[in-house]
Amino acid sequence: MITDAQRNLISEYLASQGLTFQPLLDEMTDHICSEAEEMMSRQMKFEEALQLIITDLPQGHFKNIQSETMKTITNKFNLSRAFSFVAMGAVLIATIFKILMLPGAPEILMIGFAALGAALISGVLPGLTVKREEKGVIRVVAIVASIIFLLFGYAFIMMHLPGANQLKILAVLLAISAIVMNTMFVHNNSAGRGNLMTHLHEKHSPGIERFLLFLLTPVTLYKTIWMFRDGRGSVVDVILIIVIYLAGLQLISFFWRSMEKGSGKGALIAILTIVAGICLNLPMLGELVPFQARLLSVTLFSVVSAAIVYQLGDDQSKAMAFFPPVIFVVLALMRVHVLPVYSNTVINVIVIAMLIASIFIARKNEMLRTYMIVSLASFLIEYNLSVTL
Amino acid sequence: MESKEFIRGILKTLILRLLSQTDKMYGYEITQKVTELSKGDIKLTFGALYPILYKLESEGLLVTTTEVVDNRARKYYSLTPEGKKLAKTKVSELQRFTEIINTILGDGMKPQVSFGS
Repeated sequence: MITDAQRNLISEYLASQGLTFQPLLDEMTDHICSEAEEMMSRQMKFEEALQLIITDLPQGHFKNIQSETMKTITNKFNLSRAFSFVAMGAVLIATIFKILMLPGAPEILMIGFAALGAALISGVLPGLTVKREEKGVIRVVAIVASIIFLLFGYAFIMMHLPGANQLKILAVLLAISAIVMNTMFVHNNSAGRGNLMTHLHEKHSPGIERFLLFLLTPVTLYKTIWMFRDGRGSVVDVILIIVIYLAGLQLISFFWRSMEKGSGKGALIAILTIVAGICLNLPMLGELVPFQARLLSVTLFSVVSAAIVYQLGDDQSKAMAFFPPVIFVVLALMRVHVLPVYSNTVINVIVIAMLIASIFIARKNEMLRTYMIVSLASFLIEYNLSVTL
Repeated sequence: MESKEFIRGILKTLILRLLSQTDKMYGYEITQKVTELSKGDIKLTFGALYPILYKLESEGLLVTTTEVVDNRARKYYSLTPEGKKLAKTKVSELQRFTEIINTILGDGMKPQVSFGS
């Protein structure tokens, strides 16, 4: 049988050959391990077996397989993809309108939210009907519903409609319930089988990440250029809150998947994942939650997530996970006046640049990369100490 | 025309057929089954197999489940109801096509093919 070290060697070899799409990387690793095991059962040494398997493969072979595989997945037109494009377009236009100070940005953003909700529903529905044998339909529906309720909650706020708080409370309750239930399910069924939530996430996570980066890019530019200008409640801050929420849920899904693969089976990781889930959701309630509790949630989410990312990570870049907690702990201490309030545009720009760089550096560690996306979006909201959380 | 181009045209049908005969299979298992059934004449490589498996999955013809086996994630493929229907149709279409070709060319031609790099 292949040892863990030999499996890691194969996985690292594949990654070094440009295989970055995690589901395919895992599958190829299993394929080569199986092939090597078969050869080793005929008294061949592991090194010889591996050499035999990879000999004669043309240069860029695995990269080509990946690109062909991605092409077959992404070429398929579907309703969810169409709605995603509408959502991205609307968010981009809303941001441009905001930058140019044109009227209508909130309305356009709401079209984007509606399209995002439609993209989520149309993306998840086929999974609910096709994957009948997998468990967790209610949890998936709860997560999707929580995102949609939160989007509508913020849309209602922007349109000054009643019922925004009720929608946000419903969203947070649904999300926390689903996170707690799914974490317990993953923890109790660590064989990685039969969980609809993680199956759907595995399928959609590259698309979700592209979507998040697409949303984050213009607002990062905007916030960097117009530092200190925007107050809370602006269109751009709402986009950032949505990015934080979606990226936070994406991060928690990565924790689940890692737990399923066996690298995070411990009860401590499960408990920390639930804590991270609660801390992600509480600040979404805005002023319904006392300021200190929101501040604690934001800081705790950063610290706890960093600890999990570090614990579950398997490459050197994982040490970068401890950079954001330092920032958020310092910001929190300034907000409660334990440290003197100090805000400097140059320092803020440097921190933003470092967070952006870390997203690129962590290109091989999707969990860390997602954590850095949440951290960047959070910092873009929080850096201005005159803004009340 | 090279032999592998014949296989490329029927690879989808081959995979659907193999999966219709069993509950679920994983990638390496599929390649081994093809080698075994063709007595070593057809060898599927990762380059040929995985893009088409992902394509069939994205078309809703296959569903996947992941299990941890020997401390590594193993992805199993099985047919959806739609995939099962299509497997039947494709296999009967291919059988009919083979009969026609045999009629045209005459029997007794055993192919010696190797597909993929």
